[in-house]
Amino acid sequence: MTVTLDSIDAAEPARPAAPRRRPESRAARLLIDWRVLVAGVVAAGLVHIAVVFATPRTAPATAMVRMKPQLPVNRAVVLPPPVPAKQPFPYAMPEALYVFCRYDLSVDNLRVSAMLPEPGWTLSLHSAQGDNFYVMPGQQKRTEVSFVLTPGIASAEIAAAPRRFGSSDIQVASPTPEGFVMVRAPLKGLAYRAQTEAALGRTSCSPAKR
Amino acid sequence: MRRLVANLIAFAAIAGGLGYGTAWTMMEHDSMLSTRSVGPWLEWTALGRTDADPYARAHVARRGLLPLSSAYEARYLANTDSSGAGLSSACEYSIVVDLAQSSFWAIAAYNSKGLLVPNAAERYAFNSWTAMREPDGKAVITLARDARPGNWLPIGGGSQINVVLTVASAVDGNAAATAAKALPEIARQRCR
Repeated sequence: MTVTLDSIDAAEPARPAAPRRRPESRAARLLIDWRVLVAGVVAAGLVHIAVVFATPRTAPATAMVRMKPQLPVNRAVVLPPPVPAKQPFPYAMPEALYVFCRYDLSVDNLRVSAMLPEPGWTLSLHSAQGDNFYVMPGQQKRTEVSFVLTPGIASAEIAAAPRRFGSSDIQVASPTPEGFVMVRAPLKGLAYRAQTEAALGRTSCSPAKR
Repeated sequence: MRRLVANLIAFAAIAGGLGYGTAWTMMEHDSMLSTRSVGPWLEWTALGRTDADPYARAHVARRGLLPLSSAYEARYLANTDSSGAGLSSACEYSIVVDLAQSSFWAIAAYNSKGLLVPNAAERYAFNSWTAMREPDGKAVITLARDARPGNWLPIGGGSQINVVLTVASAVDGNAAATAAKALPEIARQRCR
């Protein structure tokens, strides 16, 4: 019997063919999954919205944070004109005198009265975040202003005590329990400063029982 | 494992970086949603209002501002001159204010943080009462480091400055609309 190489090869059991490796696609070779990129962009949108809406409540240097240590609560204080070393808040208008009354309505309402002798003068109310929810500008005719600042709807529901101030008082509701009353009086010049200070000195803030 | 870590890092970087970065940009600088530009002047259109857009409210809180409602008083900020070059205290600028329709206006110079520019003359602003007028009623404000004749507003030395023009309610009751028509140019005269 002759054994040939061909017959030996034919007698060997056929080996299973090694699985052929498919060439890796470019996307598969990338370290980062494209779905992660899409999810990241979606999450970025959510972060964006969260940051923008949270900032008014979480900002570390709001006007309230800056000025709270300098201003007594529920009392009017006349500030000197802003100068570089003593500026109450950024972009404060120089050549103007300010009266500030930092209010806290958690216990009582606040009675405010002020005089606005001419155009350029303003009385404004600001929430703790700095929003201006009420402004009264001076007119050609001298204006005496008097009103009672009360907590907004949310706070008023908590305070069950009946109000005690007169029903004829003008009421202004504050959206936040804390905030500022600001009277701004532009200076016409140094010669007018004493006169302006005297008019500003008529601004008063005092607690009014609920 | 390496791939998982890389994906986590990519996700956090995109979500945090892109999300916070875009929020910061829109709260601090201009965006089509909350600001408008007229020449070099930038206005936050709803500044101070209780119905302001979230970016304007965040801007006020972040900067610690106490603006009057933009419905009553428009506030325009410029950090470039009319040619687009940044305002620098090394240069001299001329601003011709012609806002006869407004009941009150004021112009002041600040540094980039909103603080007044210290100067030996202790002049920080001009307003519609204190500015000297030309015969035609216009007020020419000169921003310069060294003393200039007329309405000289010192701008200190060596830093970027911002100019803020505040325009209170106009005769027609719409400060922003009237002022925008008459917003002055900021013309650079010379630089050191």
